[in-house]
Amino acid sequence: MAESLILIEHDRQQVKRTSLHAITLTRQLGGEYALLVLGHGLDGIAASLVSYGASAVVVADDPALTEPLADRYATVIAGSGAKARRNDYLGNFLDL
Amino acid sequence: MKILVPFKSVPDPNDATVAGAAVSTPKSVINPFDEIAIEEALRIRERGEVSEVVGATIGPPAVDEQIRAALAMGVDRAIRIDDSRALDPYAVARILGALVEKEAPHVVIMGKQAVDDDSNQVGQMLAGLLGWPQATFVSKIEFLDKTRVRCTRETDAGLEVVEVNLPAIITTDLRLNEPRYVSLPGLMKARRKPIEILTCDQLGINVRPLTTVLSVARPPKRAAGTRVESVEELITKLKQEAKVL
Repeated sequence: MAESLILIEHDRQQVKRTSLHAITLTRQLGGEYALLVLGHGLDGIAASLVSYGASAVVVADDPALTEPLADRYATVIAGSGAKARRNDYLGNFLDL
Repeated sequence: MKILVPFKSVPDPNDATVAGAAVSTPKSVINPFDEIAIEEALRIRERGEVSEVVGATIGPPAVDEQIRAALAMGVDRAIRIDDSRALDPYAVARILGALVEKEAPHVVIMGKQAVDDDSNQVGQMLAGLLGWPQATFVSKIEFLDKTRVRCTRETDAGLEVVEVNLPAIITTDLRLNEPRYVSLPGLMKARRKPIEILTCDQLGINVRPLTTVLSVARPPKRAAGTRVESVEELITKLKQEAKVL
């Protein structure tokens, strides 16, 4: 079981840089981690996430998730965390 | 229809003494983003799209001064949740959630963040706790009918237009409007408007902060710049002192 779940942000083409910062931070904290990506039409982005050393890449791909709306995303993120009983959530807000 | 506007008392960000002597206590004001929320709620009422604007805040009796200011702007009535503890955003969101259940407003409009702690969390948490839709960082609000509101959001990528079903949470950005000045008749009227005092017990909730602020410090001071006489001197300094060349 992964200890941390990292929410991956993307612009529909590629992963945002801030998510890479989150991955680096998790590595420094130690322990296994899983990556969670939400959206629609995520094949390319999901494939690019395989090489980041995560124990799992969780892909929530659905037309309802095309636009990043807080209420829908929060429901999916909370659900995926509860299922795996994760300890930490790492996300990011600002695209620095 | 009714709008609830929660607001927070913060140290006046325009008070010059804040940056200077540490001994002075800056006066408190309504958080500027919340003031924009109050203004917008009043404009919506003045357009006849809602009939009542209710203000709410959390704090000791001292914040009644900011409540009077909100009433003087034109808020119809106000509620103060009497609690002088240092509450974190989750505790605030839970208190406001209980208040929303009691007041049953159609819309909650509030500032996107408070200028004292810049948390930017309460609106989102409140929406999550209530299971209501949310539109954050809003710079334009249009009531389409009694069930839908169209909001323009200011995002990093540009303006995003969302439509939310009511009831909903809307958090305001700076460019939504310019708050009105308080008029003398407004001040006189405000004295007669009711302030209802409630406690967490009366709301039937027991909150305790999940996060604790350990310390607050000013950012390290930057040394003053120096004037150089020539381009050559500048390049020498950049090479030898700043080591950027």
